[in-house]
Amino acid sequence: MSALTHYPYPFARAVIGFFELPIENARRILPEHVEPIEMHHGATVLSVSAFDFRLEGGFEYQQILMSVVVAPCIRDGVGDYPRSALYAFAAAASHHLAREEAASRWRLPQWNEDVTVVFEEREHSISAHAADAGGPILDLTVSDYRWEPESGFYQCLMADTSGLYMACFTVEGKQSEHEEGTGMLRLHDHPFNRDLDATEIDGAPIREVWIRNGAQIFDPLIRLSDA
Amino acid sequence: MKSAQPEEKSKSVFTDFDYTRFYHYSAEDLAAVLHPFGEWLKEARPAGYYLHGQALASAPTPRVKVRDGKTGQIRELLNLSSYNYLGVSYRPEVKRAAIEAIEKYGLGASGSPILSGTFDLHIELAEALADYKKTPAAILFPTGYSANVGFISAIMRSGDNIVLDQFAHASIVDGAILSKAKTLFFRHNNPLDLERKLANLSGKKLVIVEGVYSMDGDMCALPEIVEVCKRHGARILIDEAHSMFLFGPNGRGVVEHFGLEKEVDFHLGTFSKTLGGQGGYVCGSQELIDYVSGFGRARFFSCSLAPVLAAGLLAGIRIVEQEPQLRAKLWSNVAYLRRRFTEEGVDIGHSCSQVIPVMINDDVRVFPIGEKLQERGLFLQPVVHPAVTRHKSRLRIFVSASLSEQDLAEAVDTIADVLRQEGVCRR
Ligand SMILES: Cc1ncc(COP(=O)(O)O)c(C=O)c1O
Repeated sequence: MSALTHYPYPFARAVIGFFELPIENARRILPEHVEPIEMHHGATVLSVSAFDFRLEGGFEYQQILMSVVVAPCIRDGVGDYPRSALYAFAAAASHHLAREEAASRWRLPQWNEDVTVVFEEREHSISAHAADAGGPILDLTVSDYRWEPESGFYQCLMADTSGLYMACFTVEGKQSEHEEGTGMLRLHDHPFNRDLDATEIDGAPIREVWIRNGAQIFDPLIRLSDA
Repeated sequence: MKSAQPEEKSKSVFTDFDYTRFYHYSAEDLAAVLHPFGEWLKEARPAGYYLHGQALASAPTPRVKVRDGKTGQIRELLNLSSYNYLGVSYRPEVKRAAIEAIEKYGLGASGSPILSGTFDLHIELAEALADYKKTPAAILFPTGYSANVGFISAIMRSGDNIVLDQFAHASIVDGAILSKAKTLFFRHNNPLDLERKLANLSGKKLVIVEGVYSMDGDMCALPEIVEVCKRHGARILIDEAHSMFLFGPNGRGVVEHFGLEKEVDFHLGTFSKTLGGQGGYVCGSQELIDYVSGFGRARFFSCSLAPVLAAGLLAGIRIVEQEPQLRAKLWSNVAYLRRRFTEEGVDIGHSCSQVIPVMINDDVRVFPIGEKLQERGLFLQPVVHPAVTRHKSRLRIFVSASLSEQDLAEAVDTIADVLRQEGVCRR
């Protein structure tokens, strides 16, 4: 494997919740020409995730990431049709090195403080509690369903002042996914959540994903357009 | 560390997707999605999706001739898939009325209902329906789909609020979109969540529910929903597509079952389910019907229901009125199936109606199981995401009063046997 063509990010656990988000809120977040998918009339999907990364060489860090589910990009040179596409608009990490890599290599918009993400695992559910020096940011809980080895191919779009970018990536791992609506999201009054109108977001997820011992494997970044 | 050779990266397989993944895409060329979708279909169709849209070569009676989607051969199957809940559409009286109408009027209405397309038969049908429903008036639409689209967009405007059950039928959602009103969804059949959604709204409010939900066969929690709506000043529309002519002491629907006919503001339904015909309707006051007649674009910018259908439907309504034993037979068939499925350990979810889902709960295996059942002589359809939530795939049975006890026994024995072989049965 060439480290120059694929970038693996192994993790011990990942907690992902998908929530209804009013289209108007999503449009305030998305750049022009990036279209939110419409899960039903007037509502798109917010993805909130927390990862517990364990990189090669013993480097461990945690990350929270917020994205809007958007229309996948179909173009020569961008690979297979993905399961879905995400526009990542807010990320925070527990270590400055992780932040620097995410910003420079992946153009992920970064929260410039160290965040702590505490994972609390129970027999059939897991919570991630994220906070920084300014106070709690969010609490995300998902429950389990049926565990199966999974591998899925996705697109991630990001923008910074230099342009709009995309990275295709595969997520592998032992995964539980369901739509039972048993989990919960609590967004605290914290500037990390400033792009979201928390009063309009129902804390019960429309889909819950929990992955153990997995990896995100990224293809190189593609530049889609100028800023 | 996991390996990630580019050549090892598994290519997408059809089970990675349901077809909705191809709905949204961004590309320079609007045709760019056709090829990836075609490639997906190449795998999905032979793997079981061919079970959708197989052609029938006979009337939708308990035994139907179905053209096999793989071999092209015609086979006779036990029909568990047609609505026709009271087995009315192929009754001799209905066929005779339709034949007489076609002799008299020819094929179609040849006009909009507000121009040249209203026939004496349409007026008779609307009156017969209003009479049956015990409402002052009724208005007809070409289909149940257009009744929802036409009615909702006739009464709601931009700036108004529509609150829909999360499992609302596509025609209800499309009506809400067309009306341009703000649309919110409440969690399925959940009055508490409805209360939360209504609490934040100001302005005109319409809540839309269905009498019986067509995927799970569960009934609307109408008393609680009515109570919440009254408290918040919201009007209620009920779509009784799967409950009209069946529920209530006189078959006037779930509203009659609960004794809430007067509390619900708007009553809508279709002739395609219980009567096995075609057409939609709204029942209500004369003023409501006049208003909808003036603003229901989906109705008057479309040709009237064919007179031949109106004639057949009139005969169908007469049968339903005169033969309450048909409803009794349907409910006895439903009771038999529920009892036998429970005894056999077959999961039928939350059904409490003539719509009975046989839960498979596996989005991939539902197709081979459906194929196996078809090979064993049953005609029933797989239902998968997005029609139902992920992992809630099922084979859906529509029970008809026309099915005999032998038919029902054959259905249960075959389903239980196949599900047991597949390890899906609880016993
Ligand atoms: C609840 C509901 N409303 C409306 C319709 C549409 O009716 P029609 O088939 O008459 O257009 C259906 C049909 O599936 C339905 O289930």
